Amino acid sequence: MKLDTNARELLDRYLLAVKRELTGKDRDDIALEIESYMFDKLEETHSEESTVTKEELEAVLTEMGSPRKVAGQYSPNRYLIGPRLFPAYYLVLRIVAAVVFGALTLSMVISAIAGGVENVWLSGLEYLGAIWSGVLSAGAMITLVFAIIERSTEGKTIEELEEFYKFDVNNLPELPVEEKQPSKAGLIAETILGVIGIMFFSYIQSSNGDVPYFVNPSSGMQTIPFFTENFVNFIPFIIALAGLDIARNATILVRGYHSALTNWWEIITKGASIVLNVFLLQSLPLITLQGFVNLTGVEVFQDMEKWNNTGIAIVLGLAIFGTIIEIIRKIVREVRGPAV
Amino acid sequence: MRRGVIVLATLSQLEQEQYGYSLIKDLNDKGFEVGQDTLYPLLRRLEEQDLLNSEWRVEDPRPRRYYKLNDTGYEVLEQLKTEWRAQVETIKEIIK
Repeated sequence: MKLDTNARELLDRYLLAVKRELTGKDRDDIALEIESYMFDKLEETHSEESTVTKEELEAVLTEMGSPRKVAGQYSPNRYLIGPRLFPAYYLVLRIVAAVVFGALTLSMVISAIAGGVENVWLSGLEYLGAIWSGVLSAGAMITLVFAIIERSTEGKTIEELEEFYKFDVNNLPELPVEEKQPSKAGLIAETILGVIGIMFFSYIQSSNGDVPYFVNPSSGMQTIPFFTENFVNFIPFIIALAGLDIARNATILVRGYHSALTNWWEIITKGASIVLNVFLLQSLPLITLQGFVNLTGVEVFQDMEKWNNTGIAIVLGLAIFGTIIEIIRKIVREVRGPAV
Repeated sequence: MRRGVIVLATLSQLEQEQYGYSLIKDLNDKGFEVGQDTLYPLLRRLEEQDLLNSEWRVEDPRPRRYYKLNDTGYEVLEQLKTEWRAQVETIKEIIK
């Protein structure tokens, strides 16, 4: 017995939907066992040589129930919010966390643009503190509300929640395209570049913004001022963000797949990079070519410095805009169809 | 009550090695109705409690996970059988 192409795709989509509802290291194993069960079930009604069609598989899947219901059977330990309410609770939690995070980031960006940044460290800490307390208090409030609903409606059917368990095979998630799977080579390359970046910026910080240049064998390696003090002040943040990216890539490499954790991790890192870029934008000039003027006596470097910093401002502005779009896209994707 | 009985029924059928679907069939054929939505998660919990051993084997030509009682599982099964028989006798006395 075998599945035709459409039935095979439908089964893969069903198993993907089940895995998205599961957590923990056993989810691949659970999905494999469910697949094994389905083949056993189909074998009851199909001979060894027959081919199962999509319609025949649909009947089996409908009998099994929604992926959420199937996965819920494997998650017995959510005592504060039980399996009956957990899907609704988790959805509301994700939406509110995303909204709080987005609103606080946006207000931070607007206030930084409008009022400037006097103390980078203090502003960064204020931002992190606001995110932490905002998401935490919103999450606590939602948890409390759902815990009260859980206890006050114990044993009762809540009609509004039936939507979560209604099952239509046409609503199963599409299979991810190959490009969305993590590329080991890409992740390793990103990690290596990240490490090189950290080494470079660590050096720049230790040299207080000077970069090395080679004049001739007799005088050897010299240094020349290039990055301004404004920029050097931000280097710890740049290194911290690069470190977060490296740790995220390592997590994906070890696990072998993108997960909700690594996707939210990326969203938070990108949110922090927006804030960093806004602060950088407020701290121009970030580079100086005065050293080249002094070294060569060529005044044209003076004009180039102005244009270079303008160019940096444009690049930072575009980066902020692009990252905001990317974050919105990723948040919408995570809320509507979270990674497995 | 049924919850405890399912554990006893399941353990009692795993003295011989079985995969999930064959176990469901086995129990249903003997008049004990149980579905995959109850049995598969239960098998995992029993394995987590170290009462069962399991392994994936490729047969026909796809993989199946086979379960079997281990030494602890045998001991627990014997205890449950004893408790069950005692309770049945007690209930018989109460409702006669």
